[in-house]
Amino acid sequence: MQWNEFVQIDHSYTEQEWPYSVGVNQLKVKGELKLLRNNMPIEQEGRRISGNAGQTRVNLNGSSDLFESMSFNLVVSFSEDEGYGYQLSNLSNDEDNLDVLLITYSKSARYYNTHRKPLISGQAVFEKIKVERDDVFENVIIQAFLVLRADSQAESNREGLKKGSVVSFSRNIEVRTDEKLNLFKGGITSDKEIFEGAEKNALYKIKFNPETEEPVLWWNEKFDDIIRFMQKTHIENSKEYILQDMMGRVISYGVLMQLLAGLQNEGDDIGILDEECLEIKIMDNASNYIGLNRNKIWKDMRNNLRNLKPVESLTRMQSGLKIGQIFNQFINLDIEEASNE
Amino acid sequence: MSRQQFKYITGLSQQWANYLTEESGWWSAENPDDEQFIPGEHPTLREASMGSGDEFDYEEFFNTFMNELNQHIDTENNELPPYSDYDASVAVYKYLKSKGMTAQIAANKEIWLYMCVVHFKKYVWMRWRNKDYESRMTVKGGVRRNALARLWRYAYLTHDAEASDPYHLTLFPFNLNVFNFTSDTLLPANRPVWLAALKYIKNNADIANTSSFCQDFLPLVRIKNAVVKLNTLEENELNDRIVSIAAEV
Repeated sequence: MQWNEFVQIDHSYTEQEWPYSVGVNQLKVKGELKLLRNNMPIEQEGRRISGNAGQTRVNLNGSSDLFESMSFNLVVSFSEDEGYGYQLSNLSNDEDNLDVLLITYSKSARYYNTHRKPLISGQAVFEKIKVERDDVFENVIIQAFLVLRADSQAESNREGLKKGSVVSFSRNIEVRTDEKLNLFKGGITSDKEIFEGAEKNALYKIKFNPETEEPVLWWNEKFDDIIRFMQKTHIENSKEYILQDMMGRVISYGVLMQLLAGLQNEGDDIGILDEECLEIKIMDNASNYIGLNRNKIWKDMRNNLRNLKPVESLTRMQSGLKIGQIFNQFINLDIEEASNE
Repeated sequence: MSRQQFKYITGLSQQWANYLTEESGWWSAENPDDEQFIPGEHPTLREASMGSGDEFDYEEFFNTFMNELNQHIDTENNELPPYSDYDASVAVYKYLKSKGMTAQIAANKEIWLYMCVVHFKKYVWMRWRNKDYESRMTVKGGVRRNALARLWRYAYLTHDAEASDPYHLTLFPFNLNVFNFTSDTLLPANRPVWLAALKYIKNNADIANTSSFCQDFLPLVRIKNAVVKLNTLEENELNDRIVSIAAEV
């Protein structure tokens, strides 16, 4: 077996076909998160945790240095009406043979922990699940699995029967503890130069190194104020911070589109690519923003990306829209005044 | 354990090539000590730190580390052989742990980059100069291949806290596939499953501690764990399951 093959069938990270029926996204996690210091909450209100589509990210950036641990109170519930509509009655005698396994992990810090509770009346309650700040970096992912507590006595070739078999699982919930996927600080090399010709007013562009095929984010040196503004650390929730964040997101959208466009020549199956290769990193980066896994993004965008042939056209479009000039004008206004407009 | 602050340079992972250019001679110095990178000489570089307490003394760490590896140095060629990685891994992990290195700090690639290019150039040169010198010195693609980060991570993920010698797995001469799998995947963070797999390889080393076996066995454990959560099993059940997975290889 090749090293990249196991990625294709490791269902913790992909949504490839399962070898048996399973309730995809039929577990739902919700509850609250409290940030602790000296074992005491540092905020009056806990932060809401939700496994609903589109609400699965909690951002703690800015509080990174304030808390020593996180404490989660979570309710995990199973619904036969959600997701793939898997019915627990499929399990015949095993409806009382189910546990919920709650997994918390932080890939960057190689942290992984599990907690287990029985599923009672369709739900399991997890109280004071603690994650130490020292153990995690960038983010903490929470995911619940419904698993068999003991070997099933059922005779079936459509269900998992062994103790520990996954019956259903939830969407991932991401608690972002540190800056991550910041296109301006990591993951992609950046440099600056004066743009010319039809690109002269563009703020940035992506160029692929012809030798290494690595993308490089080039800033237009004409807008040096913007580059400095974007690289500066602003006080959390200040107007500068919010403006920087907003600009970062707008720019990220364009950068990601350009990066994805650079993948246009990949074949139909990106599953054969090595986990650490550039294409997979770009897809995973995009995945965090889009909320679909890499394979779904690829299937969804493939044809459109193939039509985005010259990446230069995106840069020229930016130039025509004068994005850099407008940003530059904005950040050089008095910030207070500009934000009150 | 005392807690200390680990200094680094903000954004150095994006900027090092501007300072350590191919033409500078930094990479090709016959004696690595001849060409040093001194961040203080570059006013545009900004220092930052992680951790709390006194400032961590990188030079003291370097000297202690090199003393520990002294026995492995090929004095004729002034090189450190690959098998020195096992002792080096324990040395890095134990020393840094005693100074307050946490998984959070160790996940910051800027710290390892700073450590390598500013203080550990000689070590990286002795261990990697004939192969992957630049990628081992820097953090291209994260910390996986960095000369020091990989050592820390290997010991962090293979130390067996319950054992009388917690480093019996770290020091066991597993083949290189185990080292790479430990560094590259999340499964090793799943301690019960990972330690059971490592112990199987160690206890059946004559057939299992081979490159070909590990290349099939470890991914297979990962695949099985994706479908059946192996850490829900009792210890004896888990060990039995590991044996049955090994039999499939």
